[in-house]
Amino acid sequence: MEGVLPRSSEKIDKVTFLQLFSMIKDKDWLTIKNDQLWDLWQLTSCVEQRDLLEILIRDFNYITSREIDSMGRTIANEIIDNWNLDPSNTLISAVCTDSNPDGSQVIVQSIKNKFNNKKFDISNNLDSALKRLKNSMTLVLADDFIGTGDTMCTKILPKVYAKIKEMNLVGVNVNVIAFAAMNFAKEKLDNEKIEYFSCMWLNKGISDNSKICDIEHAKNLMKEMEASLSPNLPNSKFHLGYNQSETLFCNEGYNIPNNVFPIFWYRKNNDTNYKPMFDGRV
Amino acid sequence: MEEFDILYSEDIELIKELIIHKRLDIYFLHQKYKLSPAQVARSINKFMDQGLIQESNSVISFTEIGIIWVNKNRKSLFNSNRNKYWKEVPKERIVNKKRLYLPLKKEDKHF
Repeated sequence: MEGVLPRSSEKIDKVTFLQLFSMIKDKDWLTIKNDQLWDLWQLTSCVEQRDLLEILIRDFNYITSREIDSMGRTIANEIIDNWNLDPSNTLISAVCTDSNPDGSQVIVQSIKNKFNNKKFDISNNLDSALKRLKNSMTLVLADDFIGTGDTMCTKILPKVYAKIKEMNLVGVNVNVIAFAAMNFAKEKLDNEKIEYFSCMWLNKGISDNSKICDIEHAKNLMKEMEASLSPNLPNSKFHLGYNQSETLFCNEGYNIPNNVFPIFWYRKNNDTNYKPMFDGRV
Repeated sequence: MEEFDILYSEDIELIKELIIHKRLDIYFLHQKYKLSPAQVARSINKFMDQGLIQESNSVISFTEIGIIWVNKNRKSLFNSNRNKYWKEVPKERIVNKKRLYLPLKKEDKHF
């Protein structure tokens, strides 16, 4: 229920109007983002850029609250039916390690009431979960989104293994769950020799897109759009999304991953009136 | 109008113009009423979901069911007594007259 929608603040030419109309008509989530979509459109300077933007918006994985709930059910089923984990020796934890709200807490929240009568030990903080870890347990690490896989493989898992060593624990298995993950992160996860499950596996928005013929040209078009948002953006670590992840994913109402193309969340230099498509990142 | 909880002003404008023109280029709604792409998309989706209008190449028209629906509801659609969502007072804001404030102390009467 979006409520009253504002009329256009300015006149839009017919071609642009129909292109925006067509996208909003097909993608319901855009209805409340009319102004943001218009601001995004102002970054473009040619038809090719606008067509690229349309492809990316149409491919965008915008996950609604209802879908989050449904994915929580899928993950709970995976834990019980496929991994055959038992509450008596399983610990499920968000990968959050501080007191700040974190996207990983969304996933533990979404699964906590989906185990029927089974009472799993679920924690919204990894540090407190690690204190409860015992011999022969399975630790299930939960994160809402796995982008490059670097955070999981170079930060979270080493921390867990160090703690296991410190506590002299034996027979501890580590599994990973996520709502969504980038396909290219699979290799890193495979190298860790752990069980992992993600509800969605995402391709790179431009590089792996069959609708785009000339990948390098499309990346250059994106570079131009990024530059019109902020001149330094094309040379930053966020060019095409953190570590060039080219992600098109966001959970409704939660922080957007920095792996997403920055044109969807980056703020425009010195323009407080500019509204990014997704809020929440500085 | 049983099918819709709320009809926004853009919905009424769309129906009105469709009655006049029979077939309507949706861009006309932006030209005349400055309706945003989101307003037009939501309105068209709403009526298409109920099978009242059809769209082809950005031109819309009533379906047979749509014509019957408009004729049946024309009074409530265009009558000034039509429920106006922006005029309605939310239930929780309506004062129960039996519970109105009554001065209890002497000081309360000197205002």
